[in-house]
Amino acid sequence: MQPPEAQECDATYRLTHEKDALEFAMSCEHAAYELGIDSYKASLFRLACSELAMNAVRHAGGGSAVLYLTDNRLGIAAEIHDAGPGISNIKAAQTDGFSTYGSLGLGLGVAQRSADRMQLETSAQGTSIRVEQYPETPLDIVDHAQWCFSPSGTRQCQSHIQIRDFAGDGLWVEFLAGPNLPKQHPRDQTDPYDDCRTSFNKLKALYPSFNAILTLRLSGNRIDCLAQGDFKIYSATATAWSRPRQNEAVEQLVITSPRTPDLKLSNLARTPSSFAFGKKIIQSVDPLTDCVDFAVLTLNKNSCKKTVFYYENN
Amino acid sequence: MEKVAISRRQLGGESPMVVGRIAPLTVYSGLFGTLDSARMLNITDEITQYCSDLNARYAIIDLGNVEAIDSAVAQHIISLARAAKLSGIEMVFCGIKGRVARVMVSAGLDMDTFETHSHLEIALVSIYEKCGYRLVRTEPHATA
Repeated sequence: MQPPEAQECDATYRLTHEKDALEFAMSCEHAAYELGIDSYKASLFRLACSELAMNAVRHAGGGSAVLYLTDNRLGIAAEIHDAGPGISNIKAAQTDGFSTYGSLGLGLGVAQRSADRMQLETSAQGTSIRVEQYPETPLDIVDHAQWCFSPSGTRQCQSHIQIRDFAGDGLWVEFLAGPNLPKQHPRDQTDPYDDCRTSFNKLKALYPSFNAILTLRLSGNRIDCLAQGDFKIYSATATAWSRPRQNEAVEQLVITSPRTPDLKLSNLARTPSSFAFGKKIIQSVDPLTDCVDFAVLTLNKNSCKKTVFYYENN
Repeated sequence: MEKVAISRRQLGGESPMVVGRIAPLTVYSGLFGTLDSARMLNITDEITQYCSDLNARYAIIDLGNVEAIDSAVAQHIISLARAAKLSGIEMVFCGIKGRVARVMVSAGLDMDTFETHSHLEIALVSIYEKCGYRLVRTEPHATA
């Protein structure tokens, strides 16, 4: 094996002993840090890599690992292969406390929670797991705005929103609403890197009562957006409001519920601190307790301040 | 990252270990570098042996120089503490770095069941209390 100091990326490692796994994990942290990922996320990446590499050594009698840049050249990826018997029950293996080795049985769960993205392929011929870590999205890249709400129009309706950094240069936004949702957003149930439909199906299976979901990914100069529950989506570029188009640089998005009449885009004026919707000025509201037909959430990534505006359609 | 270069030299089983008596009935040891199973076995042996040689009842383990705690290392540490407990030694941990702790919490690894302190100094005070001692200033501070 080459000394890790001489390598930056695209390095291959052989994993035979526990020592190799730990050394590989250390190189992963080093490479992540060199790439500009902060020390906390670099440590998390090290943890993910050490869990997976240690699994390969312990369960599969060793394997190999590759370290390289992600496709968008912003993040770091590690791929760990082994020719072991494969993971027969992936779901059980990802459950904390499950172990066939007499260990704590946290490995896969820890890796999944630590890395931004984890993909797993396993068969009787072996297992291949890829983890990716990205730097935080720079504050000056995304300063976008968003939102709407209350699709069902009932007071029992609850909604959840989660916003996360995505792929080193973007944001991922997920919005859920419906009766009887859990108190906390089911954060770990969906993955920003899943396509929108997969997220929707996962959540639908878990919480049959939710009736609206919106998933939005902004990365590079591209928008991926999927809404279920008859949302209407409007986006604002620097100059005008319009229906969003792929690959469009969008400054703000507004999403309205089915009960809201079509927006006259020319009426949707934007001011720094509020939205004017027709003649009405959109005011502040708590989306968990107040029921609204239309709301806009402005996310300012610089201050991490979320401002919710709404319009009541009487 | 200078630290990575340093700890790489500590890989493997040859790193010297410090075990010593630090207070009445109390043994101190620090873990550092990268901890694989072989090293941890040695460490566990050495610490428990030293404790029984000294008839120690408490052991303070300093984790301040452990730069990463993954589930394997956490398990080693937990086993170490359990082994010690079986032989009548209460183990107290100290010095887990903020970043290491944050990473462990995010990843869902915890060691809640063990007594942990931020610094060796605080761990030591707690040990003195367990032994029935109290730290008392014998005369007023010169500048007071």
